[in-house]
Amino acid sequence: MFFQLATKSLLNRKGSVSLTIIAMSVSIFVLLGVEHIRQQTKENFQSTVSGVDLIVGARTGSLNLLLYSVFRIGAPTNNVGWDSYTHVVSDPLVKWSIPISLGDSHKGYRVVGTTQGYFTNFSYGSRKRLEFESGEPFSKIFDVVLGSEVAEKLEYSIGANILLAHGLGKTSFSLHEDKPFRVVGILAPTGTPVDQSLQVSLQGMEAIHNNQRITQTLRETPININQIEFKQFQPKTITAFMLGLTSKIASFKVQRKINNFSAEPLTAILPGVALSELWQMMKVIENTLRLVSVLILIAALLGLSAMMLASIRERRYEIYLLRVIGAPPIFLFLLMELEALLISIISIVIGTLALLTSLLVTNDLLASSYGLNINSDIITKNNFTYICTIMITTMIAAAIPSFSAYKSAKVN
Amino acid sequence: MSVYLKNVTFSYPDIPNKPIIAIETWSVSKQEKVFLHGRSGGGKSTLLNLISGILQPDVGEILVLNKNLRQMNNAERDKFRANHIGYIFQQFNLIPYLNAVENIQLAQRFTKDTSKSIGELGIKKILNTFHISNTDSIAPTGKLSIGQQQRIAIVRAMINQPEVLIADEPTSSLDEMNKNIFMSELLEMISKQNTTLIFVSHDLSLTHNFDRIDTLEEINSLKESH
Repeated sequence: MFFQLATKSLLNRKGSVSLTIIAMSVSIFVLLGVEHIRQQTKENFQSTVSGVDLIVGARTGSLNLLLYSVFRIGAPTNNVGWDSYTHVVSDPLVKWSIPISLGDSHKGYRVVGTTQGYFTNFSYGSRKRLEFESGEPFSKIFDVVLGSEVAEKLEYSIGANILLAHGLGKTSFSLHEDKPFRVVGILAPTGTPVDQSLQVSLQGMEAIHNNQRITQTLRETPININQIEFKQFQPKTITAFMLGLTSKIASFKVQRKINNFSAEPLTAILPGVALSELWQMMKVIENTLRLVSVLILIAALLGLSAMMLASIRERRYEIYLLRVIGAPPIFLFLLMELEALLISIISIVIGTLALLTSLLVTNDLLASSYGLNINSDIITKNNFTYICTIMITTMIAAAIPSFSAYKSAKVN
Repeated sequence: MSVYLKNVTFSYPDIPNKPIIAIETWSVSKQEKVFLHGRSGGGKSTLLNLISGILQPDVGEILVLNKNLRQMNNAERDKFRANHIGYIFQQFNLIPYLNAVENIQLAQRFTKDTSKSIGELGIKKILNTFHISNTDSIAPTGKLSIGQQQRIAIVRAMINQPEVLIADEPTSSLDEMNKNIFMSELLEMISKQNTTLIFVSHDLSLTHNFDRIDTLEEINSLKESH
């Protein structure tokens, strides 16, 4: 009966209650949305690379190097000479290395020039290795391995021929039309920028940028373009390289050595430290977003409180009648609290469903535009804590009108 | 004795020095039907609120069914009212968004004696005897006529078989026909349940239904000051 009374009382005030529910749903949508995207972005960033001890690039800030080499965000300030790369990796403390060369794209997706070591040494998440959904690593100059999203979105399969474009735009007028690449492998989804990349060999990258050399090579040895050997197109420069060391303790030693490398100004960064710097920088934005969403929620709660307070005036006969038939003041207090709680639960359900729908709809857009793989699993421990907090704060906000009802019942 | 007041004074908190009620003694016997009238704003409703324990006197004793209301705490008074006192007003007797059955069930909710509780079918049967159809029993009471609402109010007030029924101008918004129906149904119920009735009204044509007629000015010792 208590629950029925609260429900029917709310239904009797459909107009004001609906507006309050809409206001609260929007605020819950914003609060949970910001929190979920913040958390997912963090997880995405953290899981993008693992097991890499050092990232080395031309002299630049550590964040810039981390962003362009790992997250494919921004642009490098300069390239690293091939000789410098071979010198650094010849250090006995270096166990493995992954050189990367960036700058080209295919229909908006980044092309990464690298070596076969990329497929064996690169790991993400909790030390997970790259796996092939189909095909194999590139073995010829004009072979390409696609990230899962590239293959899915562009509907490519093994054997397809594709053209790479110079630059990073979705539409490019500078296509390397004379040198099509053949898809030889498609990687399994990783939830990292790898999914949105096309992997080619460094030599393939070098070849498409050196028309003269390739024409000359073909003239000298009139063979099929796929028979050109890697060694014929050794790159002169690369964008950056990742290093795996023989021991973690060696990280600082090698880092110092690279940073003091006299032949070329280089920067070596520890990915974990650079990520922490990134979070430190992002914290201000994070906290601002959080503050804004909390303020929106507070505004909605105050709206709820005002609506309930105003309803007491129009419900004075109802309150009096309940008192006359024996309802104690605490019953009226709890009735108001239950009404507020019902509004909050309905708002949470609507806000959560709206967020879930939005995530499902915008998932692709976020992944292709921002490289963010936001999953729609919003029922996390963190969000559950938020939901509980919202319910508790709703009851606190409703305490003012509830107490007013209690007081008016006592005075009557 | 059903109701007994001794040296009762009451003033509203916003005008503490001007008592609205000052009664030396006033009583109502068991099963007695008392008609109380007086001028508007004279304190009739206040007196009824004092008897039902909704208001507390500044001084004095109020005994209902030989229980001193001042010696009870708030929760005990609420319980006592739910179990022993029925109340009918001029209007707003029912929660408009609940139907008749729910309004009556709500009144049953606050009684401690669950053996008195009647189920939905039983309530509908009683409502039928008050000429409330089954369809009207489950419609929101706000959509029913005033006459129907007042008849449902009788059932709601009497459902817990209270020993005392307080009626505060219950017929003033009814037309002649509905007034007569209301009075006959009320009095029938009262006599069936041996209930004490305190009936406040300006309508002196109803006095023939009562054992005693009192005016508030007579029992209120402040009468000269008004």
